Amino acid sequence: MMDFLNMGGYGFYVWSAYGVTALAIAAELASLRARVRAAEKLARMDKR
Amino acid sequence: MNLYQFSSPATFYPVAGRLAPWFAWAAAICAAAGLWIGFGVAPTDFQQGDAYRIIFIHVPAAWMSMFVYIVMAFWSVIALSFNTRLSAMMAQALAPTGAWMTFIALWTGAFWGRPTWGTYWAWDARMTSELILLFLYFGVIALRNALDDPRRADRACAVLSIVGAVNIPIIYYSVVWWNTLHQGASVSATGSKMNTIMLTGMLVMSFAAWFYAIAAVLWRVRAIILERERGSAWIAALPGLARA
Repeated sequence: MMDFLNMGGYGFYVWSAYGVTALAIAAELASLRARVRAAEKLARMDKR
Repeated sequence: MNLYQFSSPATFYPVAGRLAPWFAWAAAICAAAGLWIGFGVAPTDFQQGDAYRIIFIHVPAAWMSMFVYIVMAFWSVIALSFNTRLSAMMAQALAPTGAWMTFIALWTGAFWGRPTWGTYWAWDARMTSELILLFLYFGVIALRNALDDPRRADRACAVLSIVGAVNIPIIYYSVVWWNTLHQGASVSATGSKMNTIMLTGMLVMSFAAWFYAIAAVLWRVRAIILERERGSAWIAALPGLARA
């Protein structure tokens, strides 16, 4: 397990790259979800 | 079947909603398979050690950053030529995903470059033109936010997107035209210089990036349709909005 995380001494670079990519995808999906929710809420308000 | 009916936001809205989850699942499955190949199957590189494993996200993200721009410019041409609302909405929906892909390509490239070349960043032609791509995406997004009239923003953003497309061949051929720190293409239409397992992992991750981008853009275009078609009768009649 430690060997895997260590990545032959390149762990910092590999996990910085993968970690920030995961954060970027999470951030895009979260902002997307918020935008969809807000748009649906407005559309529902118009209905009433 | 009349394909033109899908150019209407009212028709496309439910279609996008049905398609998006399929693409999201395909992305998740490809990403899981690609990461398994990338970390479990592919061997350590004899020159770069394990640092090379960054390319499993770097190359797909870099490809997508350019491809999303081309698609955005394509929909911009259609929007300008035929004045179709949905084409402009598609272009609008693509910009943020393209910007994220560009950011990921630049970030992962830096963390690959540091152990491999000894530097996070160099002002070479490939990296500089990719950074300009990020600014082009930011410019398109900012221009839209600056204009209150959506139809006017459609036209302005379309012109900017089309003019900015000149940067795409510059990025792609930068490693051929100039002497760059960034290496030339390892994979091209005529073949690959890569180990088969490494190449497979990279291609599977590329499919993941494709499917992810498609799912994200379909979800975003639904939000954009709701935002921009607000008040129209078909939205009031949408059954899905009745709940909650």
